[in-house]
Amino acid sequence: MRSVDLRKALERIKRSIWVFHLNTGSCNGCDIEILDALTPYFDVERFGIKLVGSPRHADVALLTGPITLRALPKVVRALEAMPRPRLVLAIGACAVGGGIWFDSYTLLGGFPRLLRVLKSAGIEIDGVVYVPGCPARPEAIIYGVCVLLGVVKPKVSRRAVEAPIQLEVTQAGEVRSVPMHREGGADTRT
Amino acid sequence: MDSTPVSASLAAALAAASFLLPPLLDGVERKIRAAIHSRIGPPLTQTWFDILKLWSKEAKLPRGAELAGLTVLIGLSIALALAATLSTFAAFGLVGVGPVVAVMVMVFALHSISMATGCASSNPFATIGSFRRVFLNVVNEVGLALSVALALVSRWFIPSWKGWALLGISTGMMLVACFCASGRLPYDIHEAEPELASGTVIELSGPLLAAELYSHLIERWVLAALPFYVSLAPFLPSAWARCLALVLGSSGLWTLFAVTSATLGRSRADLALRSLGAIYTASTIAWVGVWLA
Ligand code: SF4
Repeated sequence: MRSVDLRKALERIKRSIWVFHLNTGSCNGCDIEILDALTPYFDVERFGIKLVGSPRHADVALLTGPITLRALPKVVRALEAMPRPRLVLAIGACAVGGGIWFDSYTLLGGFPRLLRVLKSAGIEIDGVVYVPGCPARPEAIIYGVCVLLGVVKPKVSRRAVEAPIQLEVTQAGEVRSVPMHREGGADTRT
Repeated sequence: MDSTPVSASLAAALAAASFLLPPLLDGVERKIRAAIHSRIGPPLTQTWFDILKLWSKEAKLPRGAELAGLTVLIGLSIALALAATLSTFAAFGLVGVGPVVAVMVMVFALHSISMATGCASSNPFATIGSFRRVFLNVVNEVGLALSVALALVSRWFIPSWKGWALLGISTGMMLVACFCASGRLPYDIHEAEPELASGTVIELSGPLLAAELYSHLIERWVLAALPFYVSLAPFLPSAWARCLALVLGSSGLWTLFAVTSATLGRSRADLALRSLGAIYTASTIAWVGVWLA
């Protein structure tokens, strides 16, 4: 397999952005906003943005939802299927940090935690931008894509706060999220 | 009569145009679709940007799908050879039965290899997608071959009124067949995939997807140039006129196809069997009727 010049590829992606919609267990609120952003009203095709049906064709994954443990293996496989450089736009409060379900036992709870899982599986992500909002507005989604590609500079700074939760790999090899204030974890909340 | 160096230069220029124009014409098609939606749409060079981007990305092919990668590369070679052959034949005035049959054999080879791409993939959705193509080709390839054959026969009767009428009917039939073979709405192939989550190209990525996309666009150009090559080029005396007719005619017909497909709804490919079958049968009956008159 020939090696990929990531810098050159990223430069070319700025003019041709193929996006793949990846719902990881959202309430569908953010998904409707994504569909809205893709309607003729916003005309994202003028920026070269196009929705594709296979992760193999995609440059950017539009990821929504807090990543349920059920969806996790499929999410990892879909992201792994994307050719490099692969970029992720984490859309909505759920994808950004789990939203109101950040410490649920059925969820991974946001893309930062998924990044750790992907890293441990050897799957590289070449760029991530977080688009907050519940749901995120279509304008914010389009702006997020432009920030991701370096077309515009982000207007706000980002401050990450670690939620009191830890990931655990069970003996069966499954990833489990354990809220630290629940049984088996130390409550660090004040 | 043009000298050989002039024809050779024109053949080279037409071949270069057939390699460079299709992505730009696709850009025009996307602009037309955007205008119909009251949108601005992408720039005219967008398809070239897409191809160049895909070319610089990683090629990921699942285990067991190596054959699909090979068929894509064979398809690209056939598409390039087809465009170059058509350009050479048109420039040198090779418009008889033999050259037309050679072009048609290459067109059918290209269609077959693109069906094989889906069947050779390890993804069952790709196989399902290629069946969409099979359904369409079962009836459309017959219509395309028949229309070209009828056009060749019609040329014998020219300059009588009957000859022109026969050529008109067969060319009309050829336009329908070329439109459907180009994979546009209502029987689109590639554009249907985001909705159906299936299709021959579902597992292709990076340079392989770029190669498939590019060969598909060249195929579209050939199909837009074919009616002018079969029905118009034999009556043009100089290489200049034939080459110009092919470039301008194919661009005009591509635009007409773009407007038509943008205003049509999607139809099931299996229904093509009935609707296209009816169109081709009616055209053939009309052709025979005029011939007997
Ligand atoms: S961020 Fe809000 S709208 Fe979006 S998926 Fe989560 S709960 Fe739904």
